[in-house]
Amino acid sequence: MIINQSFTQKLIDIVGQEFVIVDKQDMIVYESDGTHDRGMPDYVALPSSVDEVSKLVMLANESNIPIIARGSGTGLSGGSVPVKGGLIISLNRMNKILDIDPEKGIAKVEAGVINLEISKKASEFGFFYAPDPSSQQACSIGGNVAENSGGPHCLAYGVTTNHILAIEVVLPTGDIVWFGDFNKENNGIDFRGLFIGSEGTFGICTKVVVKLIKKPEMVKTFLIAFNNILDAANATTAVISSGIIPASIEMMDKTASQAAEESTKAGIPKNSDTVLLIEIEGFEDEVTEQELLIKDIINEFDPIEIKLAATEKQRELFWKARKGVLGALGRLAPNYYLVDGTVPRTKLAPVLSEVNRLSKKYGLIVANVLHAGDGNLHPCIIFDQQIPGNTEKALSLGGEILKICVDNGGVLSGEHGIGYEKKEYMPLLFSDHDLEYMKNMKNIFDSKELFNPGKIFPSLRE
Amino acid sequence: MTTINEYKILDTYSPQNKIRLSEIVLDLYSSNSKLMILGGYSKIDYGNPVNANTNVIETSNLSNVIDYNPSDLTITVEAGMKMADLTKILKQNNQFLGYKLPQLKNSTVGGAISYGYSGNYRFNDIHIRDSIIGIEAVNQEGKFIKSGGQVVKNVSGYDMHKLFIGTNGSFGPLYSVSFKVYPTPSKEILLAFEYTDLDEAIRIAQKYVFFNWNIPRLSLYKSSKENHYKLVFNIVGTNQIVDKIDKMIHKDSINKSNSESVDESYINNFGYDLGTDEIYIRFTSHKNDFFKSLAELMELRNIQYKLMINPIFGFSSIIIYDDEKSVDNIKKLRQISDDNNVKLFIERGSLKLKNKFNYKNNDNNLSNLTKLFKNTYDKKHLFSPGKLYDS
Repeated sequence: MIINQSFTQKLIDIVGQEFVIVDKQDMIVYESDGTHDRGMPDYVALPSSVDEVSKLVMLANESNIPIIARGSGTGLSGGSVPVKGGLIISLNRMNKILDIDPEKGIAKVEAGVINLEISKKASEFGFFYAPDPSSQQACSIGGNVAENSGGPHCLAYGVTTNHILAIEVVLPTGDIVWFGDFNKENNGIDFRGLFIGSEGTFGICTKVVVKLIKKPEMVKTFLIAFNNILDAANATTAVISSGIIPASIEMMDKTASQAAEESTKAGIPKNSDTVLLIEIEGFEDEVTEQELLIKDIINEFDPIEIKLAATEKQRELFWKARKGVLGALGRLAPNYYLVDGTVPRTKLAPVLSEVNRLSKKYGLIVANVLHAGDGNLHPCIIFDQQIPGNTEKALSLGGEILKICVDNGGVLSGEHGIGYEKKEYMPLLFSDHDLEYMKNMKNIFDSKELFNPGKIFPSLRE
Repeated sequence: MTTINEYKILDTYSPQNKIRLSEIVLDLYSSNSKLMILGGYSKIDYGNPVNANTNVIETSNLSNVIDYNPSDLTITVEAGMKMADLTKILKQNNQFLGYKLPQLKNSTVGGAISYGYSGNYRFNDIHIRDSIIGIEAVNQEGKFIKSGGQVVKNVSGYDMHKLFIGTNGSFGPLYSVSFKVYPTPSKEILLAFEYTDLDEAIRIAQKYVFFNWNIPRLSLYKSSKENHYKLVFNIVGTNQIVDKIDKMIHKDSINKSNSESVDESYINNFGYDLGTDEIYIRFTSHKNDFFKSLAELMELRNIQYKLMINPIFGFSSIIIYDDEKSVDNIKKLRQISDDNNVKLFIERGSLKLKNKFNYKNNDNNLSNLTKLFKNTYDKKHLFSPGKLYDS
């Protein structure tokens, strides 16, 4: 697209000169997210208020210019990549925590607020915000709403949609509307629920009212090493089947856990094949009771070692190993492709065996990192894109893994979204009727198809 | 039953299986025939009134379990299954939905979802909308559409199933539903305390509002005795923790516990099993300052009312009776709510009262979007005529 000087001036009139970017060099940071997908925007604007967002949307709409909302750019599906150019509306300046109401246990925040900042502020009142994506130090709550993000602690608490009571949205017409209220019993259509996870294709979320959770009295974290991945998978199922709902059950296979250990020195045994990180929380009596139960269950699966974090520092180290594992895998090869399928948790063991088989077939290392309690796999395909054909091989392997997930009753994405990366796989999961039903929903909100074009729907359906 | 709200039931269909359900929808829709989907007929008086003669599709024969592996903590069933049967099946495996639905006995899965009510017992604040992870429904062309799945974490495509929750069947019949379920806590007790001082009762309630996992219900209601309020706790968890919370609450409250006097079904069904002359009103506040104003008004105008406060959800509700002054009374209630920055919703009332007090959505954007959805997914406006809005 050729830069339109008059359009640029109108952007400047709305947000001010210093908050409009049209220089290609300056826009490079906006061409990608956490994936390998790329797309250069034509314009970037950084509004500071919902009124400015509304004016930007109306302007772009009148000019038929694609509109892509962007938070911190930490997404893992190409969701905020402007694959068809257009105007990026970056919400980073809308980063205020507007109100915390400790009596109701809610917080009202702007969409650009960083996920972890909500918990930090809420902790002053004894609360936290439960969904905790691994990127929570950087990702924005608006991005979490767009992707319906999860995180390790969603096993007990649920994902983003379970914690969002209401959202302020700028519709493609520029109208500003609130979806949802404080009571979950909706009168009429649950627009809040439909919007969350719609990946920026229905409009732009500008404010969010989140539910806060009271901090538990006690937290205990186990790091458990196993001889093989199947024992770890079966132990996960056994813990869940026992009636305990841990706050999280995370799994790392040998490749992932050894990389994490080298990076963090968290104390993962060198001879372990697979590691589980199990966290339980609640009242002291309850946690103590569950601790004994979990140990009994785990011992039936011949663990190499069960470590219980003795101090808060050690607990943080365990989590550092888990949450930093993707960075640690960078030691093995410069590029990775993170798959995000989910399967019924009882299918974890057979699906992981298949992933292992495919890894050998393609000759690429796959490090498995899982939200095991949720059945959410993150096979991380490690490769060097400088080697000709490697990127294509990695993508093809990822596609085969997703097919296996679907064949086992699972889905394409547990928490990253479809975005650009997985859109061609949608027919694996959905029929033509399903996709048409979804497309109609898109058209209700955005009949001109200007909002985040080129996402979710396979190319033939665009 | 031959009529619904004075409108004739034209024909009743009872599909025996999935394929027959789609055939019936296709036949009716292509012949421009209106259709209601009914399960246990338990919510026929809820929501907006039907506004046309209509055919009925009964779903009671579609009541099978489609898939249930307890270790996955999910279950998929046909939408005509009675909620009571679903509860029983889960109970056999020490599992539950996390909430206790009002009027459980006759409610079906499809009906419960269509009306989107979860009652006031919610383990970890689980509402029915949180527990549905997937659906299969029949569209206006008689084709099956699928949303979500049988996994607990899923962001693959739009959450189309949200369209079917709380919209009274306005987008066509559900065929199947997948739920996320929970292990049943090993112990549950009911505690109740009686107060004459509402301030004290609310103060104690507030202390326990955030015990989500262990106190799934905390309700305060006006008892039959003059100026008496009953504070009710459902406490769940391991034996040790239930005993611990039990002791904490007893220590906090000098009033004698008398849980045996609590009618749990009264609390479960408060606002859901209304008499023909009753109106259910919800306020977005559980603060005593607001109730003091409310109580003064009730006394001044001599309004008989039932009161239930749900501090966990931050709202309260009253049931009043329809009489010659009720329109004026509701205007005054709205005034008090506005003065206290509290929203008032007339959520339910018998159908003959519905038009009299109907709460209109003042937001044009939401109204327009609602109409666009209806025009898209029910082009001929044949599904559940009049239920989403009076078209």
